[in-house]
Amino acid sequence: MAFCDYIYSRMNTLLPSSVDDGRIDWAIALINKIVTAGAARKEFKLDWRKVANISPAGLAILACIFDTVVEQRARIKNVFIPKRFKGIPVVKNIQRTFPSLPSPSINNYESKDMLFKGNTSLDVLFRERLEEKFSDILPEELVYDVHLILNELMQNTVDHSTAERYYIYCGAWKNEFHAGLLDMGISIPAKMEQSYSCKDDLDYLKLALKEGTTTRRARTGGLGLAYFFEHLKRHEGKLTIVSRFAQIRRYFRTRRSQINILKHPLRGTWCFARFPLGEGE
Amino acid sequence: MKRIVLKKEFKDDHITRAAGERLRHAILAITNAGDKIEIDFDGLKIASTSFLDEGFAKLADEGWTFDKLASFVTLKNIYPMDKEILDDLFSRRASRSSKKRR
Repeated sequence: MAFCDYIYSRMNTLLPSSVDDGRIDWAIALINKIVTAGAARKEFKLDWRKVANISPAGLAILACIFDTVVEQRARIKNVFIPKRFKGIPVVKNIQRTFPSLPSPSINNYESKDMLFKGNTSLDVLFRERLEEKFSDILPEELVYDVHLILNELMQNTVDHSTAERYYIYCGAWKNEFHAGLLDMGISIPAKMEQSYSCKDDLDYLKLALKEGTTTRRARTGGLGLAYFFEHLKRHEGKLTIVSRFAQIRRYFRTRRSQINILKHPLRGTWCFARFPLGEGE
Repeated sequence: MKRIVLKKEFKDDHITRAAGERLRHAILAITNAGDKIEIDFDGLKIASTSFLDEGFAKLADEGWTFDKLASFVTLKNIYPMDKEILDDLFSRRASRSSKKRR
C-alpha cells in the first residue's frame, strides 16, 4: 500500500456498500481508532462513496459510533455522501459537535419499513409500535417471537450491561425481517468473568448462550439467551452476537456456525437477528 | 377468589424478572392464606421468558405441581403462545426440582 493510501486509511473509513450487520469489522475498527487516538488526532472521515443502502441494524451501528464520537470528543466528517442518506438523523448527527451525550432518542428513526430507537430503560412502547407497524405483513408467530427476543435483549442490557443507553431496531429488509439490540456497556465476557473462568472470550460467549448460565445473584434464571435460540431455530433465522473479542454467527437454516476471535474488541454487546420471510410477507 | 388484572397492575412492566417476582409473591401471599387467584391477562401479550419464569415457573421450585397451579391459579385470557412458554418453563423447573429431591 502506498504511504499516502496508508495515511488516508488511518484517518478515513471507507464504508461498505451495505451498512448492516453483515460486515461490521470496519465499525469496530473505527470505534477502537477513535478511543485510542490521541487528543490531537481525533478527526476522522466517513467515506460514503460506495454505500448503496443502510439496514435497520446499520442505523444502530452508526448510533454506537455516534456515542463513541461524542464521548471521546472526536470529530467526524461525512464525505461523498449520497443525498438520500443526509436526512437520516444519525447520519446527520454523527458529524455534529455535542458538549456531552445527548438523549439517545436524538437518533430515532422510523420509515415505512423500519423502526429504530435509542433508550435508557425498558421500552414497552417499542413492542406496541412493532405490532402496529408489522402485524399486517408478518405471521403472528413471528411477531410474537420478535417480541420475545427483543424483550430478552432489553432486559439483559438493562440488568447486566450497565450501559446508560442502548439501541433497538426492527424492520423488513430484502426478504427478511431484522431485529436486534446494541449497547456499549460491559461486555458479556467481562460480566461472565465475575462468576466463571474460561479460556477466552469465545468460550465465555458460548457459555452465556447455554441454558442455566446466569450471573445474577438475585432472581437467578439462565434461560433467556438459550431460550430464544429455540425461537430463532423455529423460523430458520440467523443470529449474530458480538461482544468484546468474540463473535458467533449461527445460521439455523443450514445449521452452520461461524465463530471467531475479533482483531479489535467491541466495547459492548451487539445482537442481530434475522428471519427469512416467505413470498407475500 | 382474588383477582389480578395484569394489564392494569403490571402495565408499565410485564417484562422483567423484578416484575415477575412481584407477581409470584402476590400469588403466594394469596394462596398461602388458602385462597385462590385469577390472573386476567386481558389480551396482554407477555412474550417474556423472564417474567413468565419468575412469575409462574418458579412456583415449581417451591414444590408446586401442575395440578396445584391449575387448582389455585386461574389464567384468564392468556395468549396461547405465552401459555405454551409458561407450561414449558414450569415443566423444566418442576423436573429439575424433582431430580434434586431424589
